[in-house]
Amino acid sequence: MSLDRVIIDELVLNLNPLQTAGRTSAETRKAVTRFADGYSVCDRCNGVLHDIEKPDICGFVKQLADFLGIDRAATTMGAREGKFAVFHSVAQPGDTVVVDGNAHYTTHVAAQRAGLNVIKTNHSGYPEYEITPESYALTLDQCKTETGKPAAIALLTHVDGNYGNLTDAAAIAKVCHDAGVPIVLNTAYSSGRMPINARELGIDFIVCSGHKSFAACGPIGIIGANGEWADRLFRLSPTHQNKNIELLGCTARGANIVSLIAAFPEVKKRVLRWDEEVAKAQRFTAAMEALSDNPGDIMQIGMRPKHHDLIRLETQLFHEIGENHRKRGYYLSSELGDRGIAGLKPGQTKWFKISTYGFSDTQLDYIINAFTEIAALRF
Amino acid sequence: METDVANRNRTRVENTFRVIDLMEDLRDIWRQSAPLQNLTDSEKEKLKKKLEKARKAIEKIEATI
Repeated sequence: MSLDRVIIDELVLNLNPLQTAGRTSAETRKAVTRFADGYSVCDRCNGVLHDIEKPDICGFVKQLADFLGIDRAATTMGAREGKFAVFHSVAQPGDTVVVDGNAHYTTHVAAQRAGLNVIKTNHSGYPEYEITPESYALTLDQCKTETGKPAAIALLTHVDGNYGNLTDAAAIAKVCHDAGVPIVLNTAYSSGRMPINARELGIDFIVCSGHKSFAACGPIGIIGANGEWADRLFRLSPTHQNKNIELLGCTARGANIVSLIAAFPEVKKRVLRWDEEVAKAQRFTAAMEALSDNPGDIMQIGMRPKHHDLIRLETQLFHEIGENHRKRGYYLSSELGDRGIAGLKPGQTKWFKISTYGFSDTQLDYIINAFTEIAALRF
Repeated sequence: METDVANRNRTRVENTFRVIDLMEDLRDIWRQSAPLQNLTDSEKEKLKKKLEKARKAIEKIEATI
């Protein structure tokens, strides 16, 4: 069985938004090599993963908590596991969770696993799909009216994976607190890319994705809680001393946590360059929309201007080319592939999502030039 | 274990990791210059130095056989 990857980042520019901020550095891969064996971080373990001092996981989780502006943090196997742990800690089966209308499917599945009912907020609809504080106020009211009690918890997707919309977490947290409802912020697409301070945002719980936004190989995530919620989330087993219930004792215990530790110094630096990443996203979007004089030919979907590197485009121009091309809709990924660009779903031409995260200006120019050349096939 | 044997084994393993680490550095050079990999003079120099260091590490491993 071949274990070669389809996309090799040494050979191509990979635009897949799922992968751009999870690319590892040489330093991370070197560390992973040393901890590829199972349970390799447990050489000097006294029974609690987050207390291990060699490698310094104990010190690392404290640094993570500082970095995220949270009282206490721990690693998980991913953001979805973190969401489940929070839901399971705070709510009882049959309770209701209010989530944004752009929430990832794993938010819904995590709630279902915890036995919760889900009520979604509205978004503003096509083409911006904005989630507003007002939509949370309305939905929290609706929950109380329909169920006779407040939602057990609310979840906000800080940046969603469909449109790359950055939400106003501070304002929405205030709405939730005014309704007496704690809030968990899903930062899978934001923390590790951009600066985030949960305390300043008024957030009770945070979940993060190491493999999506912290340049770690994973699978790894982070959960954290502020104030009294930290004691509840990180409560211990009554029968097994020091074993955390929601973490099932220990979570990531090998190359995955080491990759997060190794990536962290550069992550702390790169979030300070977030403005540059936003500028690149805006430059790319403007260049793509300028490929045609007809505004409907290429159109960015989601809130404008872009405040995130995940960009969704409606691309009627590329769709029309495919209708007359011998490769039909597969021509676009093929043309990009010929130019060393990957990450679009083969056959997809009406719309697509891409991410500009981490590319140099030279590489971004190369990508824009490639789309410009392909757009010229229309004539 | 004899000290000589322990030192020999340490040399083998340290240089094995040295080669792996240098190859990871190379991967970053390819990634940062993808997809055309048109290297600048300073990048070419950096690449050559890493290859030379890798060769030396391999030679050290071979010397222990």
